Amino acid sequence: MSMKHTRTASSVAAIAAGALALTACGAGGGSSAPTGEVDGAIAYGFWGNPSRGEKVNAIADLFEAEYPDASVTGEVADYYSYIERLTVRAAGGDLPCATGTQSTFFAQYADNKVLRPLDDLIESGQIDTSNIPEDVLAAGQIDGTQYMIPTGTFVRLLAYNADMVATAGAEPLTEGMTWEDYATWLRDLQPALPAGVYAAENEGGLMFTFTSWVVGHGAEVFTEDGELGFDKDMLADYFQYWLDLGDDGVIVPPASIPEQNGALELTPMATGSAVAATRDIPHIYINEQALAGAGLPSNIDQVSMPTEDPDQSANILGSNGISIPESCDDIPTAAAWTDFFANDIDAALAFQSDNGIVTNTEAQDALLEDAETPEGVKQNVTILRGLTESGDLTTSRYPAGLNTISNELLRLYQSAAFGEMSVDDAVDAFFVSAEDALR
Amino acid sequence: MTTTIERPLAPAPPDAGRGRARRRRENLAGYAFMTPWLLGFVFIIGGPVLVSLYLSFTDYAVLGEAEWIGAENYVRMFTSDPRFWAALRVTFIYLLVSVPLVQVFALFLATVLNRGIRGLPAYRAVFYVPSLIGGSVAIAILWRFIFESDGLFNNLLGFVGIETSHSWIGTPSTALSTLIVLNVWQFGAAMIIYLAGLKNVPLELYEAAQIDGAGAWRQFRSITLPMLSPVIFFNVLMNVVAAFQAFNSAYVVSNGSGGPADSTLFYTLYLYQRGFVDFDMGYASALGWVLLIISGAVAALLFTLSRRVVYYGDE
Repeated sequence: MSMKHTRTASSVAAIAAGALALTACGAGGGSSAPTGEVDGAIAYGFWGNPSRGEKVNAIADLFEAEYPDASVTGEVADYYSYIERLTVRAAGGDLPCATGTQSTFFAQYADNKVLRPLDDLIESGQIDTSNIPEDVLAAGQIDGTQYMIPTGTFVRLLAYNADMVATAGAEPLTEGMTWEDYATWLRDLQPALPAGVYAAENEGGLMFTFTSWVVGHGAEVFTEDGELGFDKDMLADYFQYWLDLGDDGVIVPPASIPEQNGALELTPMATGSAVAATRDIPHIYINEQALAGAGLPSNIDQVSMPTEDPDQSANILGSNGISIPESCDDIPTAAAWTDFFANDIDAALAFQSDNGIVTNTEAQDALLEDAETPEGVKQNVTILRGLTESGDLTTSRYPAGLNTISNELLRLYQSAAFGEMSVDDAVDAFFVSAEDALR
Repeated sequence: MTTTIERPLAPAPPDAGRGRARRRRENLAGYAFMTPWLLGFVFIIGGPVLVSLYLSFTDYAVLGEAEWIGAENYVRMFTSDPRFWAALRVTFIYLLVSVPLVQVFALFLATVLNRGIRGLPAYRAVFYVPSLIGGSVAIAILWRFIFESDGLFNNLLGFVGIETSHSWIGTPSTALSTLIVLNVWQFGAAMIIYLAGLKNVPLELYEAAQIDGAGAWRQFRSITLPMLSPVIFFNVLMNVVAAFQAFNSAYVVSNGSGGPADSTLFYTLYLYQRGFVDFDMGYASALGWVLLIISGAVAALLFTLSRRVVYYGDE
């Protein structure tokens, strides 16, 4: 028996489930009736901190100068609170007209028809995507339909502290490595490191690293049909790879994984207790700053993720962007804001790639040329440019349920690492949980 | 011949009508004052609670529609969800260890402070402060820094010659212990209540016991404990309820994961994960109702036991 609900009932129900122990709620915003003109008052919801909020306000001022009859109100929350509220607000048909989304989670909203396809707005020219590279744009698509306009992008690379490697007298990492090459490099490096310093962080439970592993082995994490695209052996090999490194004492012990997964500035690599780790491009500079601030060797270099096939990049690209919900009743203003945020050069200079490297190539040029652009931002743009020009990038599907699957990967890897489960049992449990999350 | 005896009517007080009218006015005023609370209870608490009961019999992912699946959530919970049992195990260990420890610490210090020592208000305040701040997110973050591998606790151990880089929060065998210590540290509220209870124990009882030759332990066992038993029952009940609702500390210390390896997976944290991370709201609702039933059963058990061990003075 299937029970239909009104949106209002769904909203109440979402809150109700937690009523016995927890509560959660979201606040609403409003927008004007559709007119075809850019003259409404809309809200832009995004995650971040007060600093990002100030930058968004600066862009809103520029937007309102361009469109005097329109206005945009920013609604900011930290990442996890934002995700929680997003779902509850979506259930109530209460999403802001411009909703901040990410390639890792927008699929569940698109699948449930919460988000509006943007292709008609692109075709009509209301949203210009001509300066956004195709492979970046693809991170906002499902089956060729655009649901998110990527405005900031991140790519996971293999970063290492070049100063510490040089001090240890080891060779730097090289492009085109396999995973076994990387393991050999770590094992060779470890004996030359000071006590308490590990050759690498422990990434056996990280979904992004596992995604690179799967892609680099010629498979895909999720199929077009929304099923797991790899077999149990591949996951078992991945777990065993990291467990073996752990047994050899060359990666951070599993007990330190909570510290590794905390604030970026407190991670083993950023505190000088690990030499290598995967990092999103924007995080590399933050690591350097943290190390330099502590008076530690701080020069971090990066190479592409290991891959078993030289023709298959394992550098996974992800994007943050803006989506427009079906419930929005001021599409012209929402489209104008999205277009402005993604393409306006002054907006890009004001935002300083605060949430991923700006995707618009002209804006990238402007950032590189502008004297006031921070050095770290220029470094990030330059790294991304190099990857896009060489084509050393790939994308992955991010279906609904990814968050659950990521958490399960970490939990079950830790269970295996602490000897509470065999690798085979952990793999079996992962497949049960993942298939349940994907159904 | 029959006689009819008419029951005399009770004489109505001369101002009965006015009294009834006054009572009615007072009742109306009472209900008027209660209305905001009643509306809040019905629409903010009562309504959602009933909806959650319905949702517990559905497959509901928040986005989309709820689909009626009968008791499937409950069946899945008890037959094929190892994390449900892990969460129950962690919660009961936390409850069974921390609640008695809180009572022991609180009662011990209340007994010490009840001896009329100088500066009692200052001591009382110092011991009470952790109860005010201990449940906060800030303290939970502080706890992380204290018990991680290069945290304050290991530094203190280093001062006494024990060099270790053991991550107390990162190792399954010790992670829960750090949360128990955090809870025990918040014994101040229970201590204040015990102190108030101790002040109400008649001194004559102790004087009579001393005359009879009873020592300090005998006085404590035969006078203090029985006379305090209603207070002990109250504190235990409140702490048990709080233990079932424990969430903040595990959420912050484990980054919301209940890890490592589910070692800090409190029941409420698991419920939160299923509802607000996995968005399996039907299942989360079922978890909520099972928690209500379990905590209700434990409370009922405590009340049953209290009939045997709690002394109310007038018995």
